[in-house]
Amino acid sequence: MHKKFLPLIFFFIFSTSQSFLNARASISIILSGGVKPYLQSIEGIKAFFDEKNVSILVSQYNLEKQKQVVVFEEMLRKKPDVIFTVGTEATRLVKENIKDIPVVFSLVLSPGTFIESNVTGVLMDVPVRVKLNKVRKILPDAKRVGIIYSPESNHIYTEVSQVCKDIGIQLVAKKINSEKDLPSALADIFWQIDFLLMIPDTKIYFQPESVKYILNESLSKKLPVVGLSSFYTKAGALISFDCDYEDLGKQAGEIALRILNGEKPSDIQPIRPRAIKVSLNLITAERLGIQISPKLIKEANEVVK
Amino acid sequence: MRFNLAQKINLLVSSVIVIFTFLLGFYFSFHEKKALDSEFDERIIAIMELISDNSRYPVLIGNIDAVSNIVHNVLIRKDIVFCRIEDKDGNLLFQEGFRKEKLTREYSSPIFVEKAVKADERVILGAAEREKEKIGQIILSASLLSIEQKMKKVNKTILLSSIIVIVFASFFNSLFIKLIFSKSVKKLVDGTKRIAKGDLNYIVPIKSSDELGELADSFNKMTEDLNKSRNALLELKDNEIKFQTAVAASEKEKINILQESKKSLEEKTKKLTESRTAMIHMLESLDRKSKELADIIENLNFTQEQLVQINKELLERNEQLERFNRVTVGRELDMVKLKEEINSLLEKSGQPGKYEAPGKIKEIREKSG
Repeated sequence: MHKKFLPLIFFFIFSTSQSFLNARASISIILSGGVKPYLQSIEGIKAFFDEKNVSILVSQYNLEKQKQVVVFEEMLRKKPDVIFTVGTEATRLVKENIKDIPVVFSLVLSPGTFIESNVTGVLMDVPVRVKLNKVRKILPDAKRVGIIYSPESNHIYTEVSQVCKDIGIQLVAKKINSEKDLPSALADIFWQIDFLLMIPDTKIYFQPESVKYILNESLSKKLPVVGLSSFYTKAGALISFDCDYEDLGKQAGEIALRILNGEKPSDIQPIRPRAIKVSLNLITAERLGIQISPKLIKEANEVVK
Repeated sequence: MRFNLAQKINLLVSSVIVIFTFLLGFYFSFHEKKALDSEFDERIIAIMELISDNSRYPVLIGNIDAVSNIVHNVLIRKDIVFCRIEDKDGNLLFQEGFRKEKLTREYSSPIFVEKAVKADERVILGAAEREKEKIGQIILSASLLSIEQKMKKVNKTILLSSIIVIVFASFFNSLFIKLIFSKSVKKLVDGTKRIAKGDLNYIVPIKSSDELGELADSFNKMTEDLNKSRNALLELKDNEIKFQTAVAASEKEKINILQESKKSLEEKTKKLTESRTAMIHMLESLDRKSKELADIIENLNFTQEQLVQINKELLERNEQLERFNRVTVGRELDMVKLKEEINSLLEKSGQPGKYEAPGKIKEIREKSG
């Protein structure tokens, strides 16, 4: 019975997708700025449609260079099939102003604030499980991970807690309400942990002075820190994870294609990056007295030495 | 009080040396003070920067313990007497030390932090726009006592050096003036005095090739010219006196003089006449002597002819004698006789005898028998 209907189902799917793909899709890309990862993400989107032989009509806007009003007027006039937003600022603006056009975001950290029926996309925070598994390879003796979080990053704490349970690592967490509490929190957990995991919490880890303080303290107390990006690795973190921004764009393209093929954005959950890049700081490793195997060094995408 | 020229010059040069040395001393002192101040400021500013760096995060999060530790550590440093750290509204976070001590300099520096303008993914990407925000201020008082002490030492050294320089410079200056200048000037002054006394033949003995030498040369030239002028004047004066005397002489004296002159002329004429007569006599005598001399010359010519003739005869006789001698010895006596004749003839002509003396002839006669 099923076998009889299977060709029909394939035919239906193929015909609908082909019928759509025969028409030219109109997309608008709104960038929060002109930084390199944003541009790499756009390259990924375009590359994805090229690979799929989908003809697209692209309108591109940069909020750093163009006035928001002009951008939205033009976009509403053109009525694109899908809007790509790159970065938090562009996503927030589009979410607030456009309700009837599907929006696919990329390079966004906090998905919670962008939950809308027409909005979905690719987050940029690397899955905690990926991070911890990699860290365990570098620090095989590490059994206790510390995190300092604020109410803003409760969801990450939950994720970390779950992953730690799954992989058998003890979590030592300290919740603070502002960055003023950071030194005392750090002092509280330093002696209980084998490494500190930074999480994308804008209240704690996004101000240069706080990051500097954490890195200085960790170096003086010989505690490895897992940073938020290669930028943190260069500043003194032992290891950090970045996503492949071009691949992030491709993932966004995949979501957009699903929407163009008729899926509702509300039915598509925001996804995490799949291609991860690792950066290592061998100077920090040396200062902390950590030996990293040559194999892991070779696997790293960026090495500070 | 009177000063001679050398003393005046010495005084002037010494004053210049003193002024110059003290000005130089002030200059060095001023610059040393400036350098010390600058060094001091640099050191304090470096300390401020260090405090600012260290206190940035404690001030940002309001960690008073950390701030107080920083202040304690700052006050250990040399010259720092007071330190105060305030928040951005000027509220005291911590302070220690005595702010209003004597000889202090106050410094203040704001504490800035860099903040990401937007706390979004751009921070993680290392591309966040940052801005500086003032979060507090450091006020520091530093004691200037160390600078003052150093300056006292420096000033003492400069003063001592200045005095030594002045003393040596003045000494060598006076020595130089005395050796080079005073001696020459004294000679010139002496020369002037002697010339003033009338000794126009005096020559100033300065042989140097400098301006003083030139002055002495000019002086000597001037003296020489003066001497010549004076002599000329004296001569002129003598002539004038003579002329006046002559003019003032009476007619009689003039006639007397003329008569005397006439007499003198007559005597001279007479003497001349006598001389002319004597000359005429002398000329006549000379004429006679000339004639006598002519006769003598004529006689001498005749005697010469005679002598030539005698000589010829002698030669002939001699030839004959020779021939005779060769023919016979017996005729020796004749020959001797002939020889005697020849000798006598030679004697007559004033020539010495050609043959041996008659004694010898006699001897020959005796031998021959």
